[in-house]
Amino acid sequence: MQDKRKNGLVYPLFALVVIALIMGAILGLTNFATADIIQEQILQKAQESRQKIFPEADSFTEIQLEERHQNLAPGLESVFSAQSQGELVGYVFTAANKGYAGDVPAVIGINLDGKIIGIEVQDNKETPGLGTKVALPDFLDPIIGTSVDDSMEIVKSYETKPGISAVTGATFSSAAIAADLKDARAVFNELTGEEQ
Amino acid sequence: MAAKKQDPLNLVFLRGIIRDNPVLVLLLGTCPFLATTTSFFNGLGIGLATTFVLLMTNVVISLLRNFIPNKVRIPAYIIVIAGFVSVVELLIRAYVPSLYQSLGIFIPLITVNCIVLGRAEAFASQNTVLRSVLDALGMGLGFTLACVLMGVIREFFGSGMIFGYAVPWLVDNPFLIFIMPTGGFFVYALLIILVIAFQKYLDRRRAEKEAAIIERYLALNSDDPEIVKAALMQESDACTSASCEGCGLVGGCGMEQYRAQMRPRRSRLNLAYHSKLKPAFGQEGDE
Repeated sequence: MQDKRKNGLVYPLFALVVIALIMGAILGLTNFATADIIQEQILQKAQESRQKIFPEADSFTEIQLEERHQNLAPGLESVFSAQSQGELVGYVFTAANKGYAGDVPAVIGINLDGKIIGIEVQDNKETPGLGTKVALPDFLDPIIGTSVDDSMEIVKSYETKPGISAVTGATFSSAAIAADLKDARAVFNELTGEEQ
Repeated sequence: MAAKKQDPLNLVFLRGIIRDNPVLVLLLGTCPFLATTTSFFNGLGIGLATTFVLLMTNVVISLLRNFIPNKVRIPAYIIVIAGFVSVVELLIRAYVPSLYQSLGIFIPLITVNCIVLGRAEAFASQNTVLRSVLDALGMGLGFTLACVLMGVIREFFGSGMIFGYAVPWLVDNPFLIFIMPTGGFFVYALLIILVIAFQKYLDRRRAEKEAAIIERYLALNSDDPEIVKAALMQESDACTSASCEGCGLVGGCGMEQYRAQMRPRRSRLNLAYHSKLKPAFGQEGDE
């Protein structure tokens, strides 16, 4: 009873393509309508992270990125300087590098002594329960308090070499955070090197 | 042409709420049901998000039901479902960010919620758009009500809060098991028992009503099988005519053939018909 052509090969393929195009159009429209709002939220969240990292800071000033910064730190997204009562207290970097399933953005705060005083991982699409563990204190706490001069290489969790201890089974996600840290370090050295 | 007896429109909507509740009776969509209903807000969120996806996919699949070849229907349904889930994810992320944070991975998981694919395959692909819309709304509402009920219970006992507001004493001494999977299973079981009990009550009420009808007619005119038969039939299906002659449709609706083919419902109504009246005019189908 089914139309003979419906049992062929061409018609089903055509039907699927048409459906995919229709759904693609609907999705595209929705994305267009919501992109700005979502971008606004991402910026808002980054600002909250900055404040959390430097609680004593009362203002953050964005630093214009130049090409040499981008060359040093490919994953860099923004740099802010943190001020408390007019005095510079440190810098906050937002960098995102490729993890397992997309970029893993992190907001990293470094004070003038070169100590990493805070790191906040932003929204990402890493494997929930595994890759997302890089946002948890278990992984981040050992990094906080270390200096920019320390090794930022990923080491396996059971090794005693200096470096950043990876989350077991989530090497890619851990490597993304390490890359974010390296980006922050590179720009930090560049900025503080200028002043000297 | 034999008529296909379809449920009346109001039943298509209502049955999704209790009688065929997707998660408490059909036992579909249990995964998000157990995992996300730890509070009223989360339960409401997942319920409404799933209802949105159900509604949109039912509409689209019903519109395209004659266009999608049978061979590729499942991939086609999945494309539609995944598309609308991505849409709802973007909408939630933009307009209700707190819900986006709490539901997390379970928003994209609506794609594999069996309720959505199940209704697409079992209903939307074979019914008109209006009926598909009602089915989606009914099933979605049933799912949402179950999620909200579950959420309120688990939030109250498991976090000591009600709609986000702290309950004295309970908020400091909550029964944590309720917000864990184990507790979820317990409350789920209790809700299923509740629905079965309620359904049994409704069935008993209907049986009592039918018994009353039998009493009435058999007392009235127990000697004339024709009238009794017509009266019993009128009460048991939607047609109000005793025979097609007096009716304006003159058999065009297919009700006569339908009555001849109708599988006997095991109700006391039908038993009375079979025991008292069938012997009076021979085999079924002679009419």
